[in-house]
Amino acid sequence: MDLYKLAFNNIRRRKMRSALTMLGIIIGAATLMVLLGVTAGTTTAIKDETNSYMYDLAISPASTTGTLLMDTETVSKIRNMPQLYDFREVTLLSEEINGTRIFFEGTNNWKDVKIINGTQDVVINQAVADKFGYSIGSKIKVKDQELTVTGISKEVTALYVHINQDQAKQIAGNRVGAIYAQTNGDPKVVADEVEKQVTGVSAVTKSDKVEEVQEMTNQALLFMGIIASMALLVGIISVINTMLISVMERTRELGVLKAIGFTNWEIKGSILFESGILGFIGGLIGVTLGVIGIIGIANALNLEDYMAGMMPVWLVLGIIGGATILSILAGLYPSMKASKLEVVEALRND
Amino acid sequence: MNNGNVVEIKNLIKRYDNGRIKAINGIDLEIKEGEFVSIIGPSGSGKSTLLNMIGALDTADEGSIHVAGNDLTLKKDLSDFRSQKIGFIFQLHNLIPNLSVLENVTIPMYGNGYKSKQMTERALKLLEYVKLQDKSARKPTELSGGERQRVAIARALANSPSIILADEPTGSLDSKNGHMILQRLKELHEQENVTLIMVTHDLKVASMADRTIEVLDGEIQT
Repeated sequence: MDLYKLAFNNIRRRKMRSALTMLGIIIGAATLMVLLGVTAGTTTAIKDETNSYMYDLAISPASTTGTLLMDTETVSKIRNMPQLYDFREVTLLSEEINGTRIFFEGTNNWKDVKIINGTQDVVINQAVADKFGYSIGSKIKVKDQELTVTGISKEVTALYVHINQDQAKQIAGNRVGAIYAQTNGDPKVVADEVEKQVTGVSAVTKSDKVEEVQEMTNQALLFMGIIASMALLVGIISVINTMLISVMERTRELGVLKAIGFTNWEIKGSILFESGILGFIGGLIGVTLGVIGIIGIANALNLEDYMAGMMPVWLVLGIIGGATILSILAGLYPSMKASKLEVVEALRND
Repeated sequence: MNNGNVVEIKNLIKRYDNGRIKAINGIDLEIKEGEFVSIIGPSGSGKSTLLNMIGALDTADEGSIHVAGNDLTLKKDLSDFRSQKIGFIFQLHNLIPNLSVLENVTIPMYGNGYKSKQMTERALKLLEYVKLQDKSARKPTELSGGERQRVAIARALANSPSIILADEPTGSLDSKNGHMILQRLKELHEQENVTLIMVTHDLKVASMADRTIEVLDGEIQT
């Protein structure tokens, strides 16, 4: 039997109040876990995708041209530049079917397309299959060509049909949406040269793109963090309130403890321990609920592959540790009040 | 400490309300080791304040107070002194409601070098002494007033103190329970040679002591 068991007993004795205090922390911790977890997971996914997908340069029609496709002459000029090599072309078309716009993306690398049924060549995603009732063998008309569906991919975020890039280019009248290439020398210098030598194109370096994505995701992470921290802060304030009430209610009991020889530090320690326990249990339950929420969100948005990235160990430990430390800090003022109680006055308290 | 005195008080003064009220007004007092002293006086006379100062629950404004070899006027942490030298018995028992009877008796032993098993064994022995060993798992709220006060006695004895300070220990009890508590305290004083200082306003209770001191308006009446 010691003061720490007494702290546990105090939490147990006032179950409803302890539960309501923890509820604030639980909501805060769960919100932090879900918002930061989903943001961190998608950030990692976007960064990985950007890194793996992009070459040194991405060349596409300049916005001033009013077109999304580059003609044969422009493509030829780009391909003939000695500073560029290892080209990859991508063509994106769109077609309105029954009043709904579907995108047809030329694909060079079929392993990036997560086919869940059938084979490559003409792969509709699950969203297209669901929306139009298409299945393998269905016919889709794009421009003047009829395509036969060969497979279905799992993505459901937009209405997409993946076809071979050569076919996409041919359907688009030998035009190309973007050219990715590696560069000899500094990509930024080469990008300037491309824009100078080939009119009507815009060249973006990989680092520019990665920086842009990184900045965007960092801002999202910061914004989500601030919002979720507010929720946790409200929980922590309720710890201060609860512990202050607890000290007031137990004034006589604290006086007795002092009278039988407990030091001010021991009294302070027991109050801090009690508030720390509230924060730790609240954080633990909150993180657990947050993890359940993340699993639900990842399943709903078909992001199961990124689920592990949404629950990094640093986030789990950070939230539990943070809730515990903040709760201990919240207990500081009540603990100081408790340790400064005059024994005689405390014993007179009803 | 001279002449076997366990308490030596000289010209003790205690003021309240920014010095306007003198609760203790120049008291001189010596109590010998193993003595049973009762302090009597009407409400507000200063008898409880005097007891609290002997137990280092309150501090002196002037004068000197030495208890069991400790100068209590020196500003220092007196928690060890309270824990090891003094056993308090309050009028309203002051047990901790959310701890069991056994835990209430064990808690003063915490931090005094006992192992967990030793603490439990000692607490059970003390509960046997006050005839409550069969109620060790109960909460104080499940006991009668007399039983609670007996638990308070067991708690006061937890660290084998040389001085027991009892503030109206029978004040909230009926005569039968009050008599039982006084008998226990008297036995304790006689068998263990514990110094017993008891505040009471009941002359019959006070007469059980070796010596009675009367306090009036913060002064000892001679």
